[in-house]
Amino acid sequence: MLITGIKSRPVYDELTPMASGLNHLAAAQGSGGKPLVRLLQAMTPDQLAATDVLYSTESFTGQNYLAELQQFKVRNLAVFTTNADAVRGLDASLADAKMGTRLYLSGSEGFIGTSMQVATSYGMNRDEVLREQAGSSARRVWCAHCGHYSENVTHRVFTCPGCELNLIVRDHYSGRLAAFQGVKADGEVPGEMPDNEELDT
Amino acid sequence: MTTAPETTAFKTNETYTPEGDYQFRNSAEGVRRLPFPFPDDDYMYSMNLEPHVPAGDGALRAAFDIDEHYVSECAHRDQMLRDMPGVHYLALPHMMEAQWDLLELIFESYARDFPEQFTLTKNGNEWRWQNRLLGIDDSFTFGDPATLPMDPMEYATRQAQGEFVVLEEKDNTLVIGAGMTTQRADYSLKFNLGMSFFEFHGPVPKLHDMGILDRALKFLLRMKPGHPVRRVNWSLTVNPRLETSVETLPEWAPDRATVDSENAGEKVYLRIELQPLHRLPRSNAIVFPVRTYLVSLAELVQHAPNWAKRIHRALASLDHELVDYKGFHRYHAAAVEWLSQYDDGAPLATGYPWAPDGIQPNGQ
Amino acid sequence: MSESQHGALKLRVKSIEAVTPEINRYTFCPADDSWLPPFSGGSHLTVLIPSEEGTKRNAYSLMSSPYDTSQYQIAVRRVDDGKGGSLAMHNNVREGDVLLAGIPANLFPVSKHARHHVFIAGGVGITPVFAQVEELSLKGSPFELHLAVRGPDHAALGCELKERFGDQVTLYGHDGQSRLNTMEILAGRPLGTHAYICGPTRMIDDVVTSAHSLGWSDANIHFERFEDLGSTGDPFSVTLARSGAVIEVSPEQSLLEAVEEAGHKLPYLCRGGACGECETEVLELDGTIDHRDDWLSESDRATCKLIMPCVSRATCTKLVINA
Repeated sequence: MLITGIKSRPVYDELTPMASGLNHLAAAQGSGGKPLVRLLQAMTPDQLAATDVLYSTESFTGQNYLAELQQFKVRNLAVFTTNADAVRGLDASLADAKMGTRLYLSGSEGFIGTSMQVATSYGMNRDEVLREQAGSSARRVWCAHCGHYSENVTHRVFTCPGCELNLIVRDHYSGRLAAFQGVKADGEVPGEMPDNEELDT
Repeated sequence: MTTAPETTAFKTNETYTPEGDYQFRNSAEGVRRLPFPFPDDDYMYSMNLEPHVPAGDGALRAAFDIDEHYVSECAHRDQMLRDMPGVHYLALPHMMEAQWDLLELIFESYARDFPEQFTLTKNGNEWRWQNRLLGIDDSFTFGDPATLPMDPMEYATRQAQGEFVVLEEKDNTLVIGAGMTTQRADYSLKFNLGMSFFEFHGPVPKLHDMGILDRALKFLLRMKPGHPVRRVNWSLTVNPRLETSVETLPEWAPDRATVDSENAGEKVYLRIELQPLHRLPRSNAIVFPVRTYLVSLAELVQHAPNWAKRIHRALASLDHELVDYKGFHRYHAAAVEWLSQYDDGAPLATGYPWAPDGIQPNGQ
Repeated sequence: MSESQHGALKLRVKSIEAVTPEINRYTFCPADDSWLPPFSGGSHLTVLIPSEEGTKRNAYSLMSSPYDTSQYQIAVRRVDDGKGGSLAMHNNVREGDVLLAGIPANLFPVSKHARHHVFIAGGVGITPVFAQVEELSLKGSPFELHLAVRGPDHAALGCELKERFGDQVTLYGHDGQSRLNTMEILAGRPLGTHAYICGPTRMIDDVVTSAHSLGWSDANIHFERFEDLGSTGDPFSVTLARSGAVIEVSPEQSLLEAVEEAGHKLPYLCRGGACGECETEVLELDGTIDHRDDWLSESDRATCKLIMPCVSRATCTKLVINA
């Protein structure tokens, strides 16, 4: 057995307004629009007026909450067609942001992870950020053997496009790499594969 | 002040890889000086932290121990770093102060504890370092990385036995900021870099439930410069292979399926980890060194029969979750069966071998 | 390294200099002309001060450069109604004297991840800042210092820093009129700014309140916890049930150390309240136990049936332990 007992999953929050913040920045992707709508509904008019929203319409599951998000009287709503552009937009917003800003992230684990990398680079700490996972349970996986990053991995065992080894996804997450760890699934006895299963979250 | 025994013969032609045919042997003295990690017949996972003060005349005599494998281990490190650049040594940018702290700690300790082999001469910040075992005589300016051929931590730990993980203190936890880990046991430095104390301990079963991690972290955060502590840990491994990282798992994991109750004595190695932790003075970081010792079950039987009996009992009664976590589920039974031939059931002393009345390698 | 037994440093008083009417600056060098352990900005030094009422242990922030291992500097404000340590430093200690001190430890380090550092200090609270800004300056990290003083007579240390670091230092009160306004100092700071407060409790409370109202989280607000996390405290006595021995625990030693000094043995490993090895049953107690360990659970602590002799103490008229 190579993997029993391993547990270091990121722990997510539920998006609710952080009353201690003076300014609010909310970034979401695809299905992450749903928790974002819930967050904005819970905000006071003053909080909404101090809130900037960034939304990416790229979605693994095809969910789009743009129309709902446009109903709120926020300070600014910026829309992006790709998650990568949304993360770049987040970077630009944080560069000008002041102490007292609160950040809200929702969407896939990969989107939250890469957004957290940006937030960390600006010295934001966990007290200033809430993260809620939404939509697909797909994971971003780093191959320990060739270093390849696979996006949207949905099953416990998959073939790494980088080195073509069969990898098993460990429940072990690196915030710095924003990815789970994939290791050779039949490491001890080649061909002796563990049960494959859909990844839960 | 202590010195290495005159008789220590530093071996130069040992290998820790299948390509090198695993040319590795412990001398009788080499076995009997080990920090044997089983004080009782029943193994209980615990923090077993104690002040790191000199004890006995074995592996715990010096702040950082070196032994007969020093030269070959340094050569192995050099080879691993060349084979897989960017995988075994990594340091985050803000760790430079801690790197100098670590260089100073290792060099001062070696020069003090093994003056025949090492000399450190300081003239203000102009330092001269002489390592007679590796034939090194370098001068550099302490604090100026430009005067060294590589990062200070890489420079120092290429000349040190064991691996070194440097933890920085941040928001009341400890975060992995740098590592020299050519001997790591089934983890990835690249993956774990930047992880907090609870995150990188995530995989260890039971620790969370027992509250051990909370206590360990609080204790470590209170560590002060000049007051190091140590603990010992252990695992089993197949073949005298030092490098067992996640990255190279496809190369070494198949070895686990090659052990049976006939060959376990030669194949299975006890991997002892001596961990002397220090708070570093300038950076306020904590260095977590893992000094790894390999000894085959057959070498224990031959040179340390009491320890062979003890490890038989400890392995036989080991909790299954720990067997899984330590990765020897597949050959645990074979190792226990092989060892059972050499255990007459006689009562054994309790306590670590370096403690008063602790278990000695041989004799009554 | 200049070290005596038990890791204590032997320091020779190289010079004493009055920097304000109440504050002396002491420069120490190693008594044996070797070198002193390096330290980080924000570290303190616990000095053993001989006085008429026995040895006082006072912790003082190190204000010399963390990169100079040839000397240490501390500043001591004379407190006439205090416990006597600062008075003894002022009245009894002379140049050339040799004092014992612990190895520097840091409970007030600067953040390694801050994008900007803001120091707010008052009075003698300025001492740790000396070493902290020296460290940041050498690393090229951006910082600024806002220092309030009581008047021109008390501004000498601030003027030294102003001279060295120029516009990065702003003095308040040295001219008898300008006032430090924490809201103004903290407002509109970029993400990743860290604030350090070095001054009296009132100043700490004021800055924390201002920072919270501006939406700062606690992880970015730092102030010195000058609580002694060791095992020293008020004296008490303990009875060992098995031998009947009555042992006095002095302020400077732990229960474990006192028992060992009296020639008895207790089990121990970490001597830091973490490992659980020295856990000992309390048989009788008239008073309360001052639990300082990380080992016992909240419910264990509440029942007062167990004590960790390596760090914990008691405030009591009677304590009998099963040892």
